[in-house]
Amino acid sequence: MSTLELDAVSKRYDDFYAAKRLSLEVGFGESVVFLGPSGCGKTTALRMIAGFVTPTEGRILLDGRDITGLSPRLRNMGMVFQNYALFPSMTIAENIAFGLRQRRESNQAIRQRVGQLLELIKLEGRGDSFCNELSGGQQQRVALARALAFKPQILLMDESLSALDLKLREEMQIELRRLQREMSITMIFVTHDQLEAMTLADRIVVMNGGEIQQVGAPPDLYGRPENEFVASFIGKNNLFWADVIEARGKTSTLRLSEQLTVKLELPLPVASGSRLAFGIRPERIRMTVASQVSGNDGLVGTLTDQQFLGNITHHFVLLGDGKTVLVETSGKEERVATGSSVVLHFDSDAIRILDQRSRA
Amino acid sequence: MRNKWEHYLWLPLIFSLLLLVVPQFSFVKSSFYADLEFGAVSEIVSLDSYRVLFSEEIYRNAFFRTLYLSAGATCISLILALPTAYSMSRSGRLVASVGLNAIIAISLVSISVKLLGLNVMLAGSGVINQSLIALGLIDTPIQLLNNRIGVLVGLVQYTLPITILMLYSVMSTIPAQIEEAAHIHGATRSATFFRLIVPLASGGLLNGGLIAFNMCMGAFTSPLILGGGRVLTIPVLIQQKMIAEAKYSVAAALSVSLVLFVFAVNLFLGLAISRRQKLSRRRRAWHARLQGEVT
Ligand SMILES: Nc1ncnc2c1ncn2[C@@H]1O[C@H](COP(=O)(O)OP(=O)(O)O)[C@@H](O)[C@H]1O
Ligand SMILES: [Mg+2]
Repeated sequence: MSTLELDAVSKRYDDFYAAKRLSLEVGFGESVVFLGPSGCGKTTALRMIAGFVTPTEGRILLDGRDITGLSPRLRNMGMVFQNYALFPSMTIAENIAFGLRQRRESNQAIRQRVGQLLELIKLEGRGDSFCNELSGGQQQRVALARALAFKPQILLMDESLSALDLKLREEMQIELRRLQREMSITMIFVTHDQLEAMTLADRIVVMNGGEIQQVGAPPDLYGRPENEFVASFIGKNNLFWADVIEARGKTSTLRLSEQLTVKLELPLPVASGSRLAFGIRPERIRMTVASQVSGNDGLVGTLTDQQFLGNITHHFVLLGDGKTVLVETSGKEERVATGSSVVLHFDSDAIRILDQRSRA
Repeated sequence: MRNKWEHYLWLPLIFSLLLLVVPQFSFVKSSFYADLEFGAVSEIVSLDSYRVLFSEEIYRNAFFRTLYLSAGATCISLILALPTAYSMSRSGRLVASVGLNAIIAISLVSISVKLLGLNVMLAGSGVINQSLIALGLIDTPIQLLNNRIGVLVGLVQYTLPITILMLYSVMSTIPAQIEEAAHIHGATRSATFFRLIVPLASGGLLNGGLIAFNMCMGAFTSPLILGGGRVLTIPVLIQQKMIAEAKYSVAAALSVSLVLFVFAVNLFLGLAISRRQKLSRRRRAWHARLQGEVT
């Protein structure tokens, strides 16, 4: 049985859906990350799970029990807020002990658990300090300890690492992921940062416009995006729309634009006369100088710009119809001078078909 | 170059000195020239008027009366203001602004108008007594006017708006996320209020309380009208001495004593609090050191 289940949960403000028909099951000890651009409804989803926002439709189940209308304090969840929301009038130890005190634990049990957690977050001996005496990273860890102290069923985190600077944030991501795995914490994390999502997630829930676009493990989302949004939001991608002029088996003639028609081998058969969206990852494209190529297959373009990024290089290739294609090489290939005429090749399994509809 | 904004404070400072401190000096001065018969004053400097204050019971009693009425009214005001300010800071923008404007409007109504209203309400034939009788809780009207109850009600009405405003300004700076953090980690509404909101608002409680207290100590109209001249607080007494008995020097000595007393209370509370903060900080540092040595 799943620990948490969202059953077609929606939140509507007047006639605007901040979250629309979200359905999801989260297993015990699983780390699920809600990922999407700002305003896509991630926070709304998390706050419905926490109980701060009441869904207008649908049900939320915790261990099979309907908690849709249950008060937040009875849900046994821990939460780390974006700005930590530590209690300024209390010491660090009192902050960590807060959930245990509300649960009427004995003083001895509280002292022991707080000691444990202070050690875990490497703040031994600082229990009597106040939060404003701590750095941002330390406050973040106190907030985490406070949320974990009473062994909640679910740990909720809303952009909880965003306030840290990059290096610390990356360290905390790895640290948090290790902790989550070791302690089998069921975690729901919200972020707009795809690298953070990939570091932290067993499964990523990609959201856009209040709706779930796709749910999957990070490699699945990267390798098998199901729609244009996911294809372009996760990692870099080259997206094309094309009319299928002629389809013979897997080889099709595609019109990318008025000026540009190509013959491509697609991974699956398509209907002639349909309109097609597909994506090709930049690292799956091979680029060759035009003078060295015989035959007339492949996309012809001009190398307009190159961006050296250390382990990889980005090349921008302008096609005949004005579209720019991104090509990524890992530095082992022969250098090509900017301004050269180039030809782009890719295998059929590099093409990911994202949408197919009959031509209107 | 940095603009020295504090220079602009000189003008208001000089103004206040002229308007406030200079007249006080003439008061202080006249308190040292004892009263003679029929409004005349002695030409010899002496502490006679102060001696009178300390030797005659009426003055001592008036001091205590003023003190406990003020302290009582302050406490009642704070207790009423606390949930009011909290609810207002947590309601929508519309409700909050209507509430705030209503409070400001009320505090702008002339005190005499408000007191006359209270007079009507608290009278034997007033709403309160008549409803209590109608409910069968009492048989004959209770005396709510011309005594300390009336004065207390008047003082609370006088200080409540400013107390609410002071507390509101503190409450609205407490982020809602802090309360959410308390709720999700298991706190009830009342635990959240008493363990988080009240401690966080303690600065506002203290400031609001001091302002209310100072206002009460100096209040003249409410004790006079609702006390019917029978509840002698220091300000009422000062007026009586000055107008009815023409004892200018005693009146001056009373007012100087009142100012000094109120000033002392403020100073004492201010010092006590900053001392406590310093102490607790030192105690914490010591605790931390101790723990560091043990572990
Ligand atoms: N209380 C509210 N009233 C009206 N609209 C809201 C409210 N809360 C959120 N929204 C809207 O819902 C959408 C999703 O918000 P949110 O969940 O905060 O997005 P995210 O966390 O992904 O950035 C936004 O367009 C936001 O303006
Ligand atoms: Mg958000």
